[in-house]
Amino acid sequence: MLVGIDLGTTNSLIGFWRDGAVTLVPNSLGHLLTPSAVGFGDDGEVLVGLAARERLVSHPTMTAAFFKRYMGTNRLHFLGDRGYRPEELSALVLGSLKADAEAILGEAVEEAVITVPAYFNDAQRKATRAAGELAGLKVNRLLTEPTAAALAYGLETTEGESTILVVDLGGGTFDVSVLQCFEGVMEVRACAGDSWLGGEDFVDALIGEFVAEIGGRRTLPSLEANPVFHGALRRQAEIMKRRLSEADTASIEVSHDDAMLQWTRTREQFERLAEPILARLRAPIERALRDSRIAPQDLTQIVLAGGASRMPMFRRLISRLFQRLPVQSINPDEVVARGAAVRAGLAMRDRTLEEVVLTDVAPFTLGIEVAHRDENGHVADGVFLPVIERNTVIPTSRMRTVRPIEDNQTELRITVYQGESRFVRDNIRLGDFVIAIPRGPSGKESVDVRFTYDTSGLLEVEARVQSNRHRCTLVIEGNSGVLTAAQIKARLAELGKLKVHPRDQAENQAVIARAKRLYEERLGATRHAIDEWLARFVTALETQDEAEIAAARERLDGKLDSIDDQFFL
Amino acid sequence: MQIWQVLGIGPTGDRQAIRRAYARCLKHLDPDQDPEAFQRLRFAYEAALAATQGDTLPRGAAEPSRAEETLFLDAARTLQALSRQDDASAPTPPRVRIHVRLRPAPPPTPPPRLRSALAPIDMGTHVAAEGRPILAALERALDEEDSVEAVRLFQTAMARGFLPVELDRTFVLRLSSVAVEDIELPGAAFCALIKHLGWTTALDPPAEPQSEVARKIFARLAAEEWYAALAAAADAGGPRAIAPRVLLGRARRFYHDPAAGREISKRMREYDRHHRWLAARFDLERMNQLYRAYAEEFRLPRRLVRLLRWLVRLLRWLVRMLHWLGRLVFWLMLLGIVHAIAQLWIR
Repeated sequence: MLVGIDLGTTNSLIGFWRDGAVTLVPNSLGHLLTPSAVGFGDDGEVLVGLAARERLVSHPTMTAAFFKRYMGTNRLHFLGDRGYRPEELSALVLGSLKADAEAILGEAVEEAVITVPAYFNDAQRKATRAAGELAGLKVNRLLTEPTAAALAYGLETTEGESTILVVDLGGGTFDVSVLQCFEGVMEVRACAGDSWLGGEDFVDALIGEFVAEIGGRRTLPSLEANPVFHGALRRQAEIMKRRLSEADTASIEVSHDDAMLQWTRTREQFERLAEPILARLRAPIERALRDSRIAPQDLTQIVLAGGASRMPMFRRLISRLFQRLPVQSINPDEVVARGAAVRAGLAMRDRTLEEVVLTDVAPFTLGIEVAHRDENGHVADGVFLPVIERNTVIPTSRMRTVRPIEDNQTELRITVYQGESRFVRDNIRLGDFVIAIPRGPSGKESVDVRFTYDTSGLLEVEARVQSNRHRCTLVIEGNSGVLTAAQIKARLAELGKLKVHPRDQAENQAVIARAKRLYEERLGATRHAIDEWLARFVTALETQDEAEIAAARERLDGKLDSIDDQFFL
Repeated sequence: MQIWQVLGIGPTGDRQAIRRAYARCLKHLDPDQDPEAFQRLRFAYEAALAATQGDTLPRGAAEPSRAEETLFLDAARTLQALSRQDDASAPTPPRVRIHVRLRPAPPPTPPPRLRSALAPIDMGTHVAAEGRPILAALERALDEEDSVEAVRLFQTAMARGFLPVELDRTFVLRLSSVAVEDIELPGAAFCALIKHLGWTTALDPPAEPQSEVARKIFARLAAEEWYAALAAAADAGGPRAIAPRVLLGRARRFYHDPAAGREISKRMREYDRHHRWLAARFDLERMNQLYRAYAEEFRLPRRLVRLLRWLVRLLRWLVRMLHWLGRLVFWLMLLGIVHAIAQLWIR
């Protein structure tokens, strides 16, 4: 079975295409959204999803979240004393999603379409692919998130011709893409984005402001000294951000040194604080439109996706920019997963989707390093020569011819880069190889460099000497921040040793974690009450009687609901 | 191979028909299984669409490889033949300008007088009430050529989304021409603004790169870049920082070290090129002193100058010596003659 997975910064979803419609899979708690958080329980078992996110407040050193932001780097998240790579943590999330889907489908899930932000670079895409493999999934392809969102919307409007601009502001990434639909063909015209801009930046801004203001009056603990305090603060700031989308004022309440710190912001203050973040949204939108050569007034509709697009200031900015109201008829949290499920259906060549074809583009310019000699004989090296321009429809194959610059050069080093800068030092290096050339005066020999880029984002570089037909090929695979095949195998064995919490226990774990989080957050009498309720639930757990546990869980959940007005998914 | 064969239709100028043909072909092939067939189809589609528009080829088809180029020429030739054939019958033959891509047309000539061609900012109905005062102030600042205020207001308006996504060209020209003339505007702010407005030599120039404003902008950008590099070099320290520090007036002493001297005179020549934009940031009197001290002195290698000076001094000394020697000999001879006459007279 082939499924579609939206692996998000804050939440992940899984869905599949069956009988001409998308089905999103609820997790064991009955929620469609599974928080992208991983942690270790008190008994050393792995917790994924809501339980782990609740434990971010109570056990910050044993829990990790937002690891998607570090995909493609060598940064380790420490849970206890062992460090985990972002792709390993993502693999645990994927594994939990896979188990959910298998429970619903009743058959094994082997393959998946996983979404990535459009602006993920080569290393980040490879890391996502590795995460899929670590979770025991064959990654059929990586689909860009705005394309997935557009696909979900595009299916709704199959008649006639339409041009859609998708603006996707997720938890950690911002993407824009322009999609044209005609005759059942969905053609991505251009995409652009910023993989370091998302809802979390708004939370960071609030936290920064809080620390600057409250920290001036009293000393706040550093992150290392008191991670619990910072975990609680981040959660409160997240809630404040959500509240300010509806209410005019919201406040943060965190306990520190047995005192409640209270801090109130109005929506206006928050919007002023967020202005520098909103200003960064403009450049990618402009670039996507420029690259697609479509004038803003020719767009049929503007679609918003991603949870952070619920913020009124974001919607206002978009409507001001385009002078019309954006569309958001599909739940912005689910739209990407729906698109991924459609893509999975396409890949399975489902009969109901026979009339739909999707073409995608290369998000980055790919090229090689060259040197130029100007008329004065001065050599400028480190110049970037684009071979495949960004937003070229893939699969594609392009060729450029280069010549050696020095006399009697015997070899030519071809270094492959990805990026938009004129100089290679500002672009990302993907790999290099050396090709031997016959000795001769400069400029006599010429070498054809051909780049072939396929739909799953694999780049093959081939160089051929014109005179003697000698050729050399490089498939870009390994670079720093990406695991090699052997390393993946080793990690897979290691992850296999981890004991994942049984699925039927997830509900109990989530409710315990929630109670513990509330205990950390509250003071005085409420604290005692929570302690008592929790003790009663643990006693019920020990009876191992299914019905009794379920009843006790209901009771505890109801009681927690009565004191907790800050629950969110 | 011709594009219409790939698409499976007869030559046409109807975009709708081309799209329909492309969609039909696309559904019968899998880009993953047969990428080459897909690329052929894609190229034919893009070439056909470009032909209907009389446009340059879209981005995706830029830089065709050799095989593609021949296909490309074929297509152009076919279309040319087609348009000749149909001249009599068809009321609107497809405009054939496909070959333009191979030799880009010269950019359109700039408006004769820029300032008269400037339009006020378009304050359409879309601007929110809170944005109007900002745009009005921006308009005023542009009229008064107060570029610092104009840039500040422009950035505020951009950040808060009061300007539409595609900036009006005349507005871009107007703001850039005000900003480029004002040498008081800090260099970093100028560079950021120009980048924001989309003036780059490499990608999609928003206006004619040949126009006078564009020339000025790129000249000033180069100057700002040079200045930034100079300042960075001065901050870096070490022997290579001597020349930049002398130029920036941070080192009071003039150096008589040949390497530093050569570097200083090289930098002086570079400064000369950017003088117009950077004059406000340099002490002109000091620059003139530097010219006198270095630009002249280091035209010849310093060691040779010193040697020549020694030689001149030696020669002068020799001449002087000879002069004295000559006088001595003269007086001695005179003395001898007097002595001889006296002796003769005594006898």
